[in-house]
Amino acid sequence: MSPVHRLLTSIRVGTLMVLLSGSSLTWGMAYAPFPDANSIKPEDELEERIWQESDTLRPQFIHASPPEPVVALQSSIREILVRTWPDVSRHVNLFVVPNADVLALSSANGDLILSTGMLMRLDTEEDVRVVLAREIAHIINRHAVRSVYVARAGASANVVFQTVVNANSLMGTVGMLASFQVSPEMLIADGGKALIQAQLGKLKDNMADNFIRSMSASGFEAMVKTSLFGYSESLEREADEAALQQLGSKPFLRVMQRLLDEAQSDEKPFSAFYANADRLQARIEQGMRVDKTLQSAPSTSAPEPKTAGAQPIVASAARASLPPDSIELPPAGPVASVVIVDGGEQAENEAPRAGERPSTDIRATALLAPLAPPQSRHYSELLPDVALDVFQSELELGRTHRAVRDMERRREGVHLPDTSALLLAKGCWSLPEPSQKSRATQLLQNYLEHSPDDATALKLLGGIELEQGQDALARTHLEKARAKTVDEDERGFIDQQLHRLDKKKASTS
Amino acid sequence: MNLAASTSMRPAVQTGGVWWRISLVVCWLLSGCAPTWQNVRKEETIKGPSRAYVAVIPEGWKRAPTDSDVLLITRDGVFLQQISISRYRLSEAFAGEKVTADTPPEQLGQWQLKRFKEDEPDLVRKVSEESKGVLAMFPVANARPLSGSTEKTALRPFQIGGKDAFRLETRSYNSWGLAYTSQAIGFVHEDAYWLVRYMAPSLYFAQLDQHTFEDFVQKLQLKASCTLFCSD
Repeated sequence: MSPVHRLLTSIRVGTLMVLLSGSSLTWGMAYAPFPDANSIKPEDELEERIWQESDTLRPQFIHASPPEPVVALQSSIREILVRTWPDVSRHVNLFVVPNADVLALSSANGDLILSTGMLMRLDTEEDVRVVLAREIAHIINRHAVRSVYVARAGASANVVFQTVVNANSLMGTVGMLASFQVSPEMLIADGGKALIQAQLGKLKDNMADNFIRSMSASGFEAMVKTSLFGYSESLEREADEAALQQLGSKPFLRVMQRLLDEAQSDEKPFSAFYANADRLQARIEQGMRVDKTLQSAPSTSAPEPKTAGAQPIVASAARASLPPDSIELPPAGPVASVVIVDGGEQAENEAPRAGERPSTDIRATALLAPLAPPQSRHYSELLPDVALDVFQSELELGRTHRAVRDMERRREGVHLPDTSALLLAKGCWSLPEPSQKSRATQLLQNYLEHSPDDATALKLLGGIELEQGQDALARTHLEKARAKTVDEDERGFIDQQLHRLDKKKASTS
Repeated sequence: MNLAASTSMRPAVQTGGVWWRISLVVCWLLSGCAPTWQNVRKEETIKGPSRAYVAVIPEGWKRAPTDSDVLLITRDGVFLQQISISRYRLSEAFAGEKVTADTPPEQLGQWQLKRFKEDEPDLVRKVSEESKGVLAMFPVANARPLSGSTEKTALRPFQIGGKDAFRLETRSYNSWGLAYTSQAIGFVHEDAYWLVRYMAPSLYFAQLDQHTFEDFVQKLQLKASCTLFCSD
């Protein structure tokens, strides 16, 4: 084949590739955002499959019934959700999972999952709203189904491209003829028709195979997991814009900057979206752009966080569907039940009056089933209950810098338990810097000044002294810890340390 | 013409090659070298190649074919229950951590927990996986495994063969949400870090062979390693 023919073939197949990709992308674009809360449901077979797949994948993230403090936090965030997005909240299944990773993800079916690790980075309700707004934007804008289309377009284009490359490289070689079971005689006899048929057949098979693969469970699984690792940059920008429009740039930038600072200090960078430094940097740049736009426009100030009444498209559409005279109930308010009491029967708890004519009566009983039971404790008051578990897990995972930074950070309205100082000391001791090691000792000594009988602190200090070769001091603290502890396992570990000290003494003497 | 000549010669050569290879495979199979799971019909004692331990394999279990100190046994299948013994050189026991005979077992337990969390296959996404397939559409830099679902249920002090050890109990979930229980006993012995582990689905199976694992641990003897002129 001459170079001109090759060039022509490449152009033809290239055009086909572009057309295929283009058509698929166009279909992707056809998935417009849900116009209102009532429309949040799968519209076609593909979307239905993605929803089903999301249901199936839920156990990957939500395992057993979470501990009580996590349940309380979940209720508190649910309240924030209902207050801020009253209509959409009916379609969102909110879960808080006890996981130290910084995770917030949403599935096509409306599952919205936040980890306790993420919540430890969100100090106020406003901070929580930033992350919720982004995830809700993913659900409303149908990013899962759009991602499937984009991926399919990319994959099919890739198959066509690979086939063309293979065809070009093999064209004219005996190896290729053998592989397609086409003899040179056939090529001569029918002008290459058999060869082209074979080549097209293979292309078709590849395309079909690719289509099946893109529809397979693993393909969807990847899609759903994509929300954990982040959608494509354009879709993430769309989610940013939604959050910025609703809440303004100030809280958005504050949260993203905090997440970025921690992600940069983490010695074990990981790929979850909200822990990825590069992508967080992109979020901040996006927020800055919006901020600049708002500042340059003199007539509009930065939008304030909106409440239930001033929600976007979704809330207004829901209200529009109500009859004109209807009374709209507040989402978290009391629910009234109306009871019509027949005059022929005596109403309950009512004394009969002599000579009085029975009449039909209408009564109302209130507060039977509030839609969202009000929490007695505020969101930031609930955070300390999960803090220690998160810090402990981070230390266990070896994310020491991140954990130390998180423990040191001052939080407005959040009072961490005193015992978090012990975890901070443990973290500092694990860090390689000598200054951090001496800081660990200092922290423990300070702690023991006001809690001299704390067995955990005594044991920790004894262990550090043992590592440092201060055997006498170590023995004093370990023996005191042993006497004070009530935990049998802790006593066992202290015995192991004392046993080690005994062995050391015996070997030196 | 040349082409025709070369294609007509090729089959004869190929046929001969195939027969030669088939006969080799048959010989190898007949010689009994094929690695297969070994049925333990009667309680059996086993020593690792370094003779650092003596373990008693319960009756009716199957042993994986290994020629190292690693031991893996199961009764119904490794996903239903497994007991294993693993051995690591001290320098390779935990990446980035210095393990010595004096390392406190509690510290070893914490490092082991970290490794369990990092090794969990669920949710793990490596850089290499991002360069192909559907995931290639969403490249993420610095991809590393997430912590997964492993959670500690207990970390206790333990003694095995007169040595201080830890006993770490964890729970984890596979991709279908099935919970697994793991009990791991770790210690330093003969310049190596050893891990004796029992793992089974929490539902039904974990309890079923709990006593078998306890028996196994109780009967496990630790010995001075010996590779040449051993008395036993």
